[in-house]
Amino acid sequence: MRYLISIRRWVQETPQAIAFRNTDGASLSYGELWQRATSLASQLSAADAAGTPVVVYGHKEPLMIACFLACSMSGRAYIPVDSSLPVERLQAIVDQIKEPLLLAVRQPEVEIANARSVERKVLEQWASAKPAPPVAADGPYPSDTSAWVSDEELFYILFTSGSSGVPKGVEVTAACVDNFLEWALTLGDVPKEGKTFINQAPFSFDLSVFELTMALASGGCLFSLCSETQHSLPKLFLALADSQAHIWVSTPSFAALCLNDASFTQELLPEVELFLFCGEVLLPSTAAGLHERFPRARVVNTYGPTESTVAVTQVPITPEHCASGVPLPVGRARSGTRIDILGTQGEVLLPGETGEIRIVGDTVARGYFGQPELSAQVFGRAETLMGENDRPVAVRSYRTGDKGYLDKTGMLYYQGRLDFQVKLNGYRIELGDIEENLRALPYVKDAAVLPALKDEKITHLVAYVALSTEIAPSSLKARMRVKEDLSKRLPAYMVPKSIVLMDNLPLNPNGKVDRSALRGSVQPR
Amino acid sequence: MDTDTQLRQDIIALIAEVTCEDDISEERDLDLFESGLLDSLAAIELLVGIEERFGVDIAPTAVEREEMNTVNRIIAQIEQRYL
Repeated sequence: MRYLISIRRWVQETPQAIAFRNTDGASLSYGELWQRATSLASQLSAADAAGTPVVVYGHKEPLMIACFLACSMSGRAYIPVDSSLPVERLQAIVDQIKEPLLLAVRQPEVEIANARSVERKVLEQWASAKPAPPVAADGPYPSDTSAWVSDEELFYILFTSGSSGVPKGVEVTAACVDNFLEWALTLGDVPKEGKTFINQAPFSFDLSVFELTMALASGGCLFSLCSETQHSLPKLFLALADSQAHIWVSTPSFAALCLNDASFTQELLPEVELFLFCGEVLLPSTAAGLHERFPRARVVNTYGPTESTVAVTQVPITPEHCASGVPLPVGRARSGTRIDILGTQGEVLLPGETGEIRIVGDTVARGYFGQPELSAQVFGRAETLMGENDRPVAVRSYRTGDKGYLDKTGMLYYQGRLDFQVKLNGYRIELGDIEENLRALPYVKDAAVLPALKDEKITHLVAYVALSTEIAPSSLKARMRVKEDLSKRLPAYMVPKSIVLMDNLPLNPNGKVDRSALRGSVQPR
Repeated sequence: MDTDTQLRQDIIALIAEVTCEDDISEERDLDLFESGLLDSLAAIELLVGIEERFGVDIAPTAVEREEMNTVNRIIAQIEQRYL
């Protein structure tokens, strides 16, 4: 795999260079990372049959990165799960895999069933079990790349919100990541070698794959912002000042949040030369703010679902774009990807016509783990022209459920979702997932979740909940209880900010929850 | 029951708007972050609202979460600066 070969090159050339650093003060050099990953890989091979996916649970510890790499080196897909997720969610992921190894860089609050847990102390022993292997190209381990994941083997499985209330695992192959990375390294026309990359997103959010793979493939440093730092703006700004970062990767919301403080300027981050955005709509006001405060940096917008490896389109955002008064474009397809806009009958539409965005190309994931029927509904095969001679090549395709149009020059504009999926602060959320988890609470009769909009942007979620029994002395306490119980089952970003209690949910003539009546009935803010 | 000053009533109204919680005055020592009523973005929204309505400028990087995590503490922060 080209990604792993790139990392090995830096291990050989600059073993002392820092590969990873976080705001808790921990760091890891390329030499240390390789040594730990190699040791862990041989222990994994001894502990488990090749090819079985491994769950890696923790936050932004150096050991997380070593575990990811160890999985790849030993021919296993890794499943990153951030410790901010409730243990019920972790259990729901583990339950979809057959008794996986669970590398517990952090200890889950309760014991996870149906998993073979390896606690941190053991992991640390594993990581230091062997003396550092030779890293010369002709040394024994580095030449033996036969165990490494490659081509169509799974590199990672990323679990994302599923409409039925159970998360679904997107199977991203080694080839997907290599193909994605080759393109990612060209973004912004900025050389990437030896640069420092800001990491905001948790590793269970595939936005983080952007900076993780770019940093390690180019001999740079991944600078991770731990959640404690992100929760305190005074701490966050101290960390940013200390970062020496060149390349910023985050959700647009996170940059918008920072722009609220007047000290978020090029003086705070003198080296920053590129802002890279993905995961949600980039507002012209955010891009314009960055242009003004960071005159030496470029702003690049990208688009792509987890099912096609992080991102597939890109466009440098100019002040002209911001001033045009129309939503910002999300970019042109990378070489190796074709974007089709489909009509309701599945026909390919013309430029300017709005329809469903379909991605065809060499970074489309294999499918959803263990769910052939669900996969068949959205994944398919198609031909696209690729390479120097524009030969037709058979690749996978994915129907995104996103709405958009292409202009005559092939520029893509995103216009929201066709279904009940929403994006909030970059996180992809199936409203049905929240509704199912609300209904699973013993005192909830029925529930519906709707996004609240302001200027066509989703500001927060509103849950309409009918209770079957009284659960608290006051309405406020009852609503707090619903939120608290829901937060034990779902990630914090999926818990609706506003809860409206009702005796019964309104139904439409078909007997389904009447969503438009809900929208009109109670005016939540 | 003590009646709130106009300023306090206005502050509580602002917090109710930002948290989408009309009954927030019932629980003035409730940790708004822990209870999920405020997050980083909403906290900024609150600071922007405080500046717009009361002319009190609190830079987001000037206050820690623990200093503004309940209705009573937010009131105290504003009253301290309000002239």
